[in-house]
Amino acid sequence: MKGDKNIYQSRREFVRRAGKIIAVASLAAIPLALIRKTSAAGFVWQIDPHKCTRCGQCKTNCVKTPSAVKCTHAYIMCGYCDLCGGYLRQGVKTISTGAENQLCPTGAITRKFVEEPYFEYTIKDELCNACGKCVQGCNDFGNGSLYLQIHQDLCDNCNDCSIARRCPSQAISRVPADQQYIQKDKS
Amino acid sequence: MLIWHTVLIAQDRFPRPEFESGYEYPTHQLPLQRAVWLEYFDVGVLIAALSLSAWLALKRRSRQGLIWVAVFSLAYFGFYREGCICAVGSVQNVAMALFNRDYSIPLTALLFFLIPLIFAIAFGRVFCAGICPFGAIQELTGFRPVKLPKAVESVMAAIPFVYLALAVLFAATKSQFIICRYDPFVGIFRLDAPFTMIIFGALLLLSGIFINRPYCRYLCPYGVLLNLFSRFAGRHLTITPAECTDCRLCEDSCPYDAILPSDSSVYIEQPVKSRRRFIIYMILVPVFIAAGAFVFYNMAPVLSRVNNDVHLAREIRAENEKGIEAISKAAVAFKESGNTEGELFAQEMNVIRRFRKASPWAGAFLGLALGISLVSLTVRSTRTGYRPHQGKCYSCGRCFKYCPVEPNNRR
Amino acid sequence: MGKKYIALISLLIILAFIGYIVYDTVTSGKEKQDIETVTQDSSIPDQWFIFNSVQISDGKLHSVTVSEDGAIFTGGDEFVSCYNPDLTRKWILKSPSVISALSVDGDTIYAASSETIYLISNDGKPISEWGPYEANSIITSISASGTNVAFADAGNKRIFILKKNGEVVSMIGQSDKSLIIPSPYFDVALYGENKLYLANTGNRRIEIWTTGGSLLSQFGEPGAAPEAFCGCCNPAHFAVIPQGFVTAEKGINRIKILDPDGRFVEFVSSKNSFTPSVPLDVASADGKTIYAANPADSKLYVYKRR
Repeated sequence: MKGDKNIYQSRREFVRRAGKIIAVASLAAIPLALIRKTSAAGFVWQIDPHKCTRCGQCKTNCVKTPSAVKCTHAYIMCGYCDLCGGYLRQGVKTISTGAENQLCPTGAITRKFVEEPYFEYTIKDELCNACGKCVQGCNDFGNGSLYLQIHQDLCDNCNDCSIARRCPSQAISRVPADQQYIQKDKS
Repeated sequence: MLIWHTVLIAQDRFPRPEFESGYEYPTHQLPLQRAVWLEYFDVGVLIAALSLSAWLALKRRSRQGLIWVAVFSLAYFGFYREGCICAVGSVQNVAMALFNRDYSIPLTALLFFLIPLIFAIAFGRVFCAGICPFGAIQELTGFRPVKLPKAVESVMAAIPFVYLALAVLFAATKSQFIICRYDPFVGIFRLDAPFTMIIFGALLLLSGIFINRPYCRYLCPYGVLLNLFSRFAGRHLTITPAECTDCRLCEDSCPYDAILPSDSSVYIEQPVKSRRRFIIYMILVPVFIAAGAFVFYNMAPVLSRVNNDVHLAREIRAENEKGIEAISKAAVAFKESGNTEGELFAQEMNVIRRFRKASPWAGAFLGLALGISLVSLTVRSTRTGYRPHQGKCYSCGRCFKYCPVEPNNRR
Repeated sequence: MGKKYIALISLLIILAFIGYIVYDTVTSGKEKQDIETVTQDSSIPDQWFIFNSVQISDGKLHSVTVSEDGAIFTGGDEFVSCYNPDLTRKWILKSPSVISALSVDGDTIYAASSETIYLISNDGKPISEWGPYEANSIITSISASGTNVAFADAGNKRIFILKKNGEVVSMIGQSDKSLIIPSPYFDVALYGENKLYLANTGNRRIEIWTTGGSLLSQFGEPGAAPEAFCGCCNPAHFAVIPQGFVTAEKGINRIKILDPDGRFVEFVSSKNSFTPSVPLDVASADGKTIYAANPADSKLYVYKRR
């Protein structure tokens, strides 16, 4: 009886030790397998403006309120038009800064006269809610100099980005942390 | 936080206005994500907290200390870091990195995956005790533990295996991160979540008052790995600080039913019967593996529908064949994008092929788990003294105060 | 007793959560979608219909022109090709750069890239090359008629009028009468011996000039109405036809016919599924058949009147 027990003990010990070695080995194997596919700086989420379809879900799907996505302006692509397709609604009677004429529901775009006949349009980040209406207007009628980007200081960098999950054109993907923005005015 | 001025490179494909007043284009200021060294600082905090928990659970044997560590972890990893990135979710990142050439895992995510497992092999599930914010929030709200019948418990305990298999499958095929998507507590940490998840998070915490640690016991996929690795721990939390005297005072102290009684109080089966059952179940193990692989292989097309490309392809095909208009935003975006249907269907075939290759492994894993759990029911190891089940014990230390034995050095 | 019920309810809650996970995963993506349609002027029906269309697979399609005898020439990403009236391809010629504009006069085809103009014979043989004429030029339109060739440079916002040997005769768009061209759409069409039409897109009008450089008249106003040019810079493309003009706009993607004084006649295509931000290049030799090239899907559409 006692001899049997000793056999069981040593067998259990053997299984135990073997199991431990296998466990440690498999745990060591994972970083070895991933040795070339590990990035020290990590990733952030970003919208590819060329794939974005301006569906408006950036406003509602971000886990933050208001959304970490903001409209960005690529000034060198802008036409500086008086009748800006991203600033004014279609069919306005007068071209002015009246709220009833503006596309932006929060009034986040400011229009500034530069010289005849050019106007500068700037986005106020704290008012922008990423609805994408100005981006749609600018893209349809103008040069597409307004586009949506995730502002990284506001973004939580979730492991599973809620907006990315539901983006209809799968425009949001992980980008390396040394290139956090995909800008339209850089080729 | 660094602000990054971008140098405007001449974009010559758009006619630029000819400004005569000397107007200069504004320089962009695009803010950066929080600094990378802070992510590594989090890893440092993780290691420090794990070491502290291990010392508190194994050496110092202080449940109060563990509670304080849990509060700290809830505050730091839960509310401050908003629960992301966590070790539970990192399983998906590792799965995605192992099976996809185009994804490199961030080092911090890999460390968050490995370090709790290393501590599990060394000291048991101290991660669950004090570090995991889910564990912490459930531990701190588990006031009135109620025990479930063993049959119910063992069925429910199978769910984490399925969850792990599916999470790895979906992450490896780049379809979804379901652990993150169905995370009930992250909404509480972020103070913002979809309505259903808030409801479920609150309900789960409520039910956790009575059935303690419901997520840990019946859902956590990382727990499967911790369970496995912790069984081989060299040093593990013990109920008694010295020799167990079989006083049985600790029998009902564990809300998670993780205390293994010593032999003197349990019925031992006839050795011949148990040997026969052992052999039968051992033979059944490869049968289960094969059956699991077979079932999941056939389920592969159904499982692949979780993938966005497959879903879109099915919608477009339904439009072409049955005239059901494809009005989802993804379909509209697809039609505007100029990609051909041929490409979409080829991509769908690609994904389904990947699922066909991967799903049998998930099924085999589940079959293996089922087979081994049945085999282990027939194997009996003699025990002297009450010990925690090294796989199931969360090292929470609730049982400490039930044990009347004095530690050796106090005598 | 009480504890058993509590345990049961808690267990049911946990099972409900797991059930929700399964349910949500299974039905993921089946969201009810609502489509926001851009309100278009739907009261006026199109008087033209798509008679035929062909997928141009030679490359991304940018422009189209048609000769007097019905031969259709298309140009785009590094190609110029010729199609018969039944839309079978006659020949294709590879070009060194992206062709943004085409015009045909007699037996020479003028194909413009952003800086250079290539002369090609009717049967697809390259003849010669002109340009570059200015730095930073973005040539978006070219028109050949009689003894002159005119091209529109959106980058420098100028029209160049050349002799048939490539020499510059005159320019339009000098600083005192500058044109506002905010986007890379700037169309020009020579008419008769010394008149030309150009699209002053920033002012949303078509202007008639002499080749010598005097403004004769203009028409056009901004707006979404049928007779107006929508958005900030339109018409993106236009062609001269016996009835007047056929214009193509960007934003509200529509093709319509105006009379010689700019009054609205009828829609060629206003209810369509063309990508709003990509206007079609239009060409017509006789005003009875209108050819439209869509860069978004590289298709050539042939419109005939109902």
